[in-house]
Formats: sequence, C-alpha cells, structure tokens
Amino acid sequence: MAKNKVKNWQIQREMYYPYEEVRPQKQFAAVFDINKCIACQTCTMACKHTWTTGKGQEYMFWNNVESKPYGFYPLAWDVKILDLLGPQKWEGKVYKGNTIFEAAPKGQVAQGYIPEEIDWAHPNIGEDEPSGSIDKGDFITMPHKVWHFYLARICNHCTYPACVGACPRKAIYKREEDGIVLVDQKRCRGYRECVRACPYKKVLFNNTTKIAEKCIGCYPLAEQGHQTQCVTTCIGRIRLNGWLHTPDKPDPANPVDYLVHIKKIALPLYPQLGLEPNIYYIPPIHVPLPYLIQMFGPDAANAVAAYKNAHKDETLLGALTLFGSTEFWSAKFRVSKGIVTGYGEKGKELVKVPLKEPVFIRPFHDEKLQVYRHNIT
Amino acid sequence: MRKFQIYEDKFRCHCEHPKGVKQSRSQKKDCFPIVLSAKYLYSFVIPSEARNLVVRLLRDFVPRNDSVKNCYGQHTMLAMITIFALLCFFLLSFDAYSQGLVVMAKKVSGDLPLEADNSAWNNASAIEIPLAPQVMAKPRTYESSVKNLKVRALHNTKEMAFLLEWSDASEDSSLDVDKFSDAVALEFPSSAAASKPHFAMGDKDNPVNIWFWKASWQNANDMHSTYATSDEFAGGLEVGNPVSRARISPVENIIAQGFGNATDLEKADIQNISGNGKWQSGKWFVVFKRPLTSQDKFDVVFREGSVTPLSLAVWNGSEGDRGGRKVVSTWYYVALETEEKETIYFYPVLAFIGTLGIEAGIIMGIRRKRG
Ligand code: SF4
Ligand code: SF4
Repeated sequence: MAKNKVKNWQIQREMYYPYEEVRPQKQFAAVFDINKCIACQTCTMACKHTWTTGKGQEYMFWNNVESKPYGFYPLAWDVKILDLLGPQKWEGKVYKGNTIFEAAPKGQVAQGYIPEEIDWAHPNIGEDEPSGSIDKGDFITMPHKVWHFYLARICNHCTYPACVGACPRKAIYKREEDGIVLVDQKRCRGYRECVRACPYKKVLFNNTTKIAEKCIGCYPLAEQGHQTQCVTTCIGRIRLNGWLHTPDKPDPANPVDYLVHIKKIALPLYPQLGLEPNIYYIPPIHVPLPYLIQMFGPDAANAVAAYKNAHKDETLLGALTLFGSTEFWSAKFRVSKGIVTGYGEKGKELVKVPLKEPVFIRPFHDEKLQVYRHNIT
Repeated sequence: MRKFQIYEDKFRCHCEHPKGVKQSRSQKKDCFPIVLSAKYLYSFVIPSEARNLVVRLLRDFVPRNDSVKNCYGQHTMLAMITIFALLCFFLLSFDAYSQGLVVMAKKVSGDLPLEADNSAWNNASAIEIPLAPQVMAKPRTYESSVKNLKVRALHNTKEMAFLLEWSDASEDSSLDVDKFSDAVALEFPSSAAASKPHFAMGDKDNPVNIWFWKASWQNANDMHSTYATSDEFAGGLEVGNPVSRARISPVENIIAQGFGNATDLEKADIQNISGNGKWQSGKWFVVFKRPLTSQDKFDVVFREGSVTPLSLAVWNGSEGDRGGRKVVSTWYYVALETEEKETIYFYPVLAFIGTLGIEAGIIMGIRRKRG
C-alpha cells in the first residue's frame, strides 16, 4: 500500500495516509455542545432502538455517552491510544508529534490495538466519577476543585478514516455523496483490522454475524435531509448536524461551518491522532485547560473564551439556538431581530426560534381560576 | 561475458571454422543444431565449474583436426555431453522430489477417509513444507511459532484427499472481538488461470483456488450465546455474507485474484469440498476432500498421473493471525500416482544408466579411432 501525503487542516500540516486525499462532495458533520449534556443516554437508546437490536449487538453502542475523565467505552480507549502514540507536541496550531499513521509499527497501517471483549462489557463504567476525591467544604468552593463532564460519542466519519486505511479487503468505504463511512456487510470477512486501527474504537465486532459493524450516520435519514436519531432525540439539545466545508472555503451562513471555522468554538476530538474527525465538540468550560488541550487541541482556550462570551454575540447565540430546534439539516441560518431562522438545502425555511424565550410572570394566586401557581421555566 | 566468449571459441565448430575443410550442406545442417543446443545448455544451465571441466575435457580428448570426420566426432561428443547434462538435471529433479517438493498422492481403492486417524493415511508418505511469515502486503507478519506443516495426500481416481498436520500449542476455535481462529488453507492455480499464478494469492489474470478450513467453523458450539433481543435483523445475514451464515461445513471454497480479493465460491447447493479438523496434544490434523473434477470453471481439476502446483498457509489464532497475517509456503507440487507407478519412475533411471553405457562406448570408440 503506497503512502501518500495528505493535507490535514486540524493539525495544520501534511501527513501520511494509505490513500490519496479525496474529499466527498459534502461532509457529514455534527457539533456537540458538551456543556449542555446531562448524560441522560436518550441518544444512546435512540440509536440502539433504531439500529442495534439484533443478535450479537447486545453490548454494541454506536452512540455512547461516557463520563470523563474516568468513563470509557471500551475501557480506557483514549488513555491506551494516547499512550501508544507517545508524546504529542503542538507548536502553536501545528502538530509536531506523530499521527497514528506515522506511528504505525512495522508492517502495519496504523498504530492501534484490539480491546478485549470484557472492555466493552461495561458501557457506562466510571459514570459520574469526578476527577479527584472531594474534601470537606470543597463543594462550596468556586470554581469547584474537582470536575467531570459527559462525552457523547459516535463514529466521527473521519476525512482520513483509519478503519478504511487498515481494511485489507477494502470493505470499508467513505461515501462520495456525504462522507459517511460504512462497512460493506457483504465484503467484510471479520478480520478486525478496523477494530484495531480506529483509535476512537467505533467499529465493533458482532460475534453473531462474525463481522464488523459501525455507526451508519443514519444515512437513510440523511438522504431525506433528516438529522440523525441521536441528534433529534437529544434531551439536552446539545447536537446539530451539518455539512462541513474545508477551512479555506467556509460558508458563514452554514451553522456548522460558522461554529467550526469562523468562531472556532467547536473542536475535533483528539485531532493529534490524524484522522480529521468530523464530530466537533464545544469543550466544557469548567475543565482545566491542559486536559481540554489534550483532548481537543490547541484551540481549546479560545473556544472556552468564545463560549463564555456567547451571550454577547447574537450570531453565535443564533447558531447555538438552532440545536435541537428542528429535525432537518440546516444548510444555512440567519439571525435578525432576536430570531434565528434555519433554512434547508433548497433555501426552504425550516424553523424560526427566538434567541430569548419571552418571560411571562403570572401571579401566585390566579383570581379567575382560584388556584395557586408556582412559576417554572 | 568474457568467460562465455571463451567457451564460444572452444565450441567453434570446425565446419564453421574459416580454415575448415569444405563440407557438404547436409553435413553442415546435421551438426549445427547440436552445437547450438550445447552452447545454450553450457552457457545457461550448467554451473561455471562444470563448464570449465567440459571445456577442458573437450580440449584434451578431442584434438583440433580440420578433417570432416573429426568434426563429426567432436559433435557427437558434444551431443553426448548435452544428453549427459540433461540427465544430471533430471537426477537433480529427482533429488528435489526426495527432498520434498512433490507430494505424492497415493492411489488407493475404496472411499477416502475424512478422519485423520484413519489407517489409510499410513500408505501416504508425508512431506514437510517450511512456512514463512507473509510480508508481501500489509498487515505483515514477522514472527510466528508455526514453522512448518506436514502434507499427505491420497486419491482413488475419483476423489482427492489431503491430510495436513502442524504443531500449535493452543486450540483456538472460538471467536471473540480479541480472539481469532486457527485455520489452514491449500492453494492451487485456478483452472481459469492463464499461467502459473503467483503463490501469494494470485493476480487478476491468474486466479488461485483456495480450500480454507477454519477451527471456529469446525467448532459447532461456536454459536455465540445471546441475551434478550428484540429482533432477528443481522446485517451480514441479510446480505448473505458467507462469513455470517450458519455453517454447513468447516471449509470454504475460495477464489482469489490478488491480496484482499478472496471471494467465496460456495453456493449452499454446490458443497464439493468437505473438511474435518481435530486438535490433539499440541497438533492440528485437518483433512480436505474433494472430487478430482468440479463443474466450476475456477476450481482446480486433478488428473491421475498429473502434477499440480500447491501452496499452503496457516493461521495461529492465539498469535492474532487472520487475513493476511499468516505463514505461507511457496509453490510445491502434488502428483497423483498412477497404475504404472514403478515403471514411470523407473524409466528415467533405466534410460540414464543405458545412456551412460552408450556414451562410454562412443567415447571409447572415438578414442580408439584417434589412437
Ligand atoms: S471514527 Fe473510527 S470508525 Fe468512524 S470513520 Fe473514523 S476511523 Fe472509521
Ligand atoms: S441525549 Fe443529549 S443530553 Fe442526553 S446523553 Fe445524549 S447527548 Fe447528552
């Protein structure tokens, strides 16, 4: 397999990849706002009920939500791959360390490992585990000394998927029309080279069908302009699907382009691995910066600052308000007079949402109905 | 190059020699091909030491005489030496056979066994084939505990059976996300191959036919126990992936046209290879059986008395072998024994001894004439 130099904008340099740089016509992407996730697992169950109810999929979660820093699915997935990768040095915005392709052991396509079966057996291990032990009085100290947050994960439908690169049978492919990465269920022979190579561990082995399965980006929905199950069912309204352009030609009216390229508030997960993953996270603002930089790259500080100032920025607020407001893919958005409007691909208006919900204060005692009321939001 | 020219000179036929006596056309025609073939043989086939020896022999025993008579003598000598060299070659091949390049499929009567412990196998002599890690395509293998494999073969003019035996300390016959199965494969050039394919999975024009046995397929209990499930949908099964379907046999008939291209040929109704494997005290014994012929145009076809290339691959599950991570052999051969067994292998030897005698006679004759 020839090695090619490809451009990876997330690490601001060229890198090696087994195939040439080919970008799809449109790239499936999503932004997850970690600050709003409540770990209700509604997304997990929505995905499970839709796609993984069959035999051999009992412990298979294409969408999972893990508590960080001590939650993992599978066990210790990120700790292990970061450890295998060695030092990950950034110089400014340029990544100077090795990507998993560059750190590949002799005779392999990428650095990686196969988790043990038991590693997948506790999908919500480490749930709500805080970063350290809590001493007396800590809980009233601000900012809190300990922290944790919820990391919702699906397949990143990477621009340079390790799963695709590692498959000796070319049974995994990235769709030209939307960049969704799929395992050809007919070609796969169950070698699990993808399970080994995907650093996010988002290709899973089905021991009933003896082959690999993974998140399909709800492509039948995407083809209808409908956002994925995990996006539309999200209780915390933390998710937004969108078509992502490259940073050299971002569309400021495209909400995902705007959040990722213009405001740089949504960041890739472990960009140093070198896959150009396409799920972008708004980092949790209460988590120590070194941890965020390790997880989301050098733009973390900027993203946190921008998020803290979001209330002053109408356009940003507009983009964030679109989350969970429509079940359709918003190709464009516009904010005017305190209202954000989402438009579909053909310019059709999808939804109108006020940036601030109007507040009604009702009297504690309703004279007309002769009842007492509590005000709720 | 320089050396070769020296031989050219030594072999220069007297009849071509400018100083040579005129001779008839027919004489010229007669000796020319012999000289050419001798030259060819000496320059390409015979090791240089042997060539030197021959040249010296020629110089010492065949005087350069410009008479036509002697020219003939020299050519006869050359022809003899050519035949001698060819015979040496055959002998070398026989030697190679005895060293184990050819698996002799013993001809037996009655049904062929599918079990390794059947006494019929005692008739077949085993050859040991060395195996080396696959390093042609990624992912590569560099280390393996499997170093060689023993092959035995039987046929009964209708069917062909192979018994493969190799050491493997652990029986890996069930799958899990991090568990791989032991397996073995026999590879033959496909009947559809234009010429002998590369042993490493063939290529586009020269496909290979692979007989693949897998321990996890042998292990009937490998049905993964399931918990409460709400439906029967299974992607691999829906699209008819041969890996996913319920096993009807522990073997699979595969056609490959290069790395990453193996395609399952097995249709549920054409189940022409049967197989059976058993692990016993640190060793796998796997039997493959198939009719000599097959309807499928890609399948290898065997004939009594014919020789077919064969190569092997072994996967050790506990060492993470699967797909291209395996140990392989280069091409070996399987020969199907025929009735005339004794004579067919005795003839060349007889011929060799006979020729030696004649040759000795002729050389003596030439010497006598010269003397
Ligand atoms: S996250 Fe993993 S499975 Fe998904 S495209 Fe990237 S490498 Fe493949
Ligand atoms: S549904 Fe939304 S809020 Fe609930 S766990 Fe999933 S991502 Fe978080």
